[in-house]
Amino acid sequence: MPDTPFIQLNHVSKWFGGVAALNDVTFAICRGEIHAVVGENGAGKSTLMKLLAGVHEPDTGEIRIEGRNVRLANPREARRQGISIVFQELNLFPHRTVAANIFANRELTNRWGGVDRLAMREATRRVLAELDVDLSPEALVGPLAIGEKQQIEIARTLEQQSRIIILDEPNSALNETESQRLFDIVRRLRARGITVVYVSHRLEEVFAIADRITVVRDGRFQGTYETAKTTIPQIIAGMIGRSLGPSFPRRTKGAELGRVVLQVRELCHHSAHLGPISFTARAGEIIGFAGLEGAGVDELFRVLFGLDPMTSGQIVVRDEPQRLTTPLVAMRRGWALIPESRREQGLMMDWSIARNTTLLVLDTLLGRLGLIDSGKVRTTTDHYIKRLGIATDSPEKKVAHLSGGNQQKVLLAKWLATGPGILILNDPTRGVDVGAKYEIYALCHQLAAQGMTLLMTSSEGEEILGLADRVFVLSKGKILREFQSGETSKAELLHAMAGRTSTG
Amino acid sequence: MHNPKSGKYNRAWRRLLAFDEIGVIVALLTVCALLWISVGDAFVQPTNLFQVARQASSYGIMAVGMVLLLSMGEIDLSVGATLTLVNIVTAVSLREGMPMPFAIVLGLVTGATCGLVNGLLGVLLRIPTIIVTLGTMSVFRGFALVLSKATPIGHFPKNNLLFDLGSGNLLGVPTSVWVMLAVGLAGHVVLGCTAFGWRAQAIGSNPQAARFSGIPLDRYRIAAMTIMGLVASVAGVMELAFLQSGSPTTGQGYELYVIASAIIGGTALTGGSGSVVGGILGALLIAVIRNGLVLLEFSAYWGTVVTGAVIIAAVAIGGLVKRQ
Repeated sequence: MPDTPFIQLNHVSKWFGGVAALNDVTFAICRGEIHAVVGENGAGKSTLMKLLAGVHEPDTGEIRIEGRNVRLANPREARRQGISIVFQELNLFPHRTVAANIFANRELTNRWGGVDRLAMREATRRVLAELDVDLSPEALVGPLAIGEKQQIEIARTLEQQSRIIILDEPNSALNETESQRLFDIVRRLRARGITVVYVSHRLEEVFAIADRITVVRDGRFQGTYETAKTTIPQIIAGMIGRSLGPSFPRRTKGAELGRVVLQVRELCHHSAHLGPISFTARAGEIIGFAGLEGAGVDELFRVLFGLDPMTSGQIVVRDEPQRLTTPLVAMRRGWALIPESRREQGLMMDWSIARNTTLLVLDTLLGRLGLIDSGKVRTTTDHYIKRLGIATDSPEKKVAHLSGGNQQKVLLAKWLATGPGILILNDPTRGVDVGAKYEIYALCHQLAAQGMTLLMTSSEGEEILGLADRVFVLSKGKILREFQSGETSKAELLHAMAGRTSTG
Repeated sequence: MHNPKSGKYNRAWRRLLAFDEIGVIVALLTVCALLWISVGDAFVQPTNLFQVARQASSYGIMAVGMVLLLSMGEIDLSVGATLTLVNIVTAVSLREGMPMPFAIVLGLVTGATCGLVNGLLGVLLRIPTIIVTLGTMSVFRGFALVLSKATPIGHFPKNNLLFDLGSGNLLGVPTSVWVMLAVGLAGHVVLGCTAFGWRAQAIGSNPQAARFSGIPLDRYRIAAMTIMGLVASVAGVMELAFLQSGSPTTGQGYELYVIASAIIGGTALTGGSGSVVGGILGALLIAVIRNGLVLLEFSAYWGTVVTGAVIIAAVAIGGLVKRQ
């Protein structure tokens, strides 16, 4: 590692309203390293990155690049210094081609001032080849997978001759294979001498990729560690200010599984190439479904919740065959679904906690004249704020202003309020910080202990293994294998997901 | 700005200014103050103020329905045409000797049907309501022209209670203003205190999440469009009651005033929430401006220009004040 700091932040602070998002942060990033910045949601890592990207300016303190004090007043200024950022929410034009996106707003022109498509296509081909990305410059961006879109954004920064590329939560929406692909690209960037700042809270991945790790907590710098000389527990301790026990709470033993609650027989959904799938689940059981993107887990959940119709097969709940034609019907029969994307499918982001929490149970909160009783809304909301430990000063706070973990708890509250018998959890800890994750795991165990049946999946393999009693591995819409809890390792699970049968 | 103390101060201000109606209230007070200063008593006379309120009631009544629609992420451009059609249908029925209550009911049914048709077309053909109602706006107005043969409809049987009420006062306040307040109260309760209202706003806030929440989107869309048609028909009947004649040109361009009233009142075009109170205040603001321009002896042509400019200004003020 070179000794002279490439980027140096000195006593940087940033306030929003009266709240310090960053408080006297000082640390250095070396040239050509992969430098991870980790912290819980709301710890200030995003603000930190936005300072470097020129989105915000620090209120006090200075940023030095190669020893020179620089003022990054706007994103254009930051780009001139060679700093580019790839945000978690990608910024692409879906109706335009890959090449058009890479050269958006910087179109190459020919002698007559027209757009030089040929040159842009060639340059795009070159830069994609450098990253070993197999995409046509002429392809439309819209239908591409999320991982490919991200690759295009990275290619764009590379084409702009960036010296520093900031990746903000780059793999929060990626599955394991896509993540591996991303790591490959990040290492290629490093090999070219580009400095990569990698913001994440997925520690496993940070440890797999980063040279050094900087921890922030509550807007304060906690330390920079060499990855080789530190451990995950040490980083977690830095992130949450205390050391965590085992990362999965222990199940209270003796909770015998109840009767068979759910029988799925030969379930098929032709347009999604799903099935035939058969399995049973008992009261108090947590069943995990593992599978790569497109393996059928999402599709299975959608059919079970009535979002997509099943074309054949049978769903039997407590010995009663069910026809689940719409989410409303599924809901009335005791199903609940925590969707994958809480922003898009789960919550009304511009609504308060109270409104989100009670939306599904308004019929039970009516007072005289059939009008909504605000007292009952308040009581219900307060109950769930307390039960799930949602950190807020008021039930009227907009969920958009909550951290990811608290938003997820509101989403859980919304569906728990319906008193479901079968709860489907599609990636329940996506974009959630370590502390909240642990609480959500504990909640799942508690719900199972009360006799609820949980069907879950996760973008993180160890979460499925840590949480579920039984794991079904799906591939091409069918159940490939079944594991009992504790019977398998993560490596074996990953192999099974990839459709291989060997043990890893 | 960036120290904790002023942060607390800012927050107090923000709470005070954070309600959706702030823009329209500021604009309404400003315009009223300016008119009071420039024209004096002629403006603040009770007869003039009631005249303003009555004018506001035509689009104020419809703004209530529009707030509901906008908060759901829908819109209806055919409200003015629906008003005209209802106006003509009721007038023709009266002229042909239909008893007054039946004529009114027929008018209301006509309006509700217009809304229902809008909703059904949107849902069944999968067309955005802005496009559907762009078309039906012309269709409904066309029907009104056909029915009326493009001439005003008068010569009603004498001593009609509807006309006595329509042009009369109740406790000194024009009847149509009472109707606006009643419709407004109903709309406010539906939007703020019923499961229907909350779920409708949920659709506007995030349609996909609403679907995942088991809300039947199509049924809600059709219901809301039907309610809008019904509300427009109430305005159509009141218009007939006041003018005492059916006119195929009444209601022309009202859709713009109605949508503007709702938006000035702080209801976002993007859906998710809405303010009925703001919508009615928005209608009042438009009526005050139009009244003021008459009092200031502007030509009616300039009045049209100024009305448009003030709509933009009021929305901008609301946005600016909230962003501060």
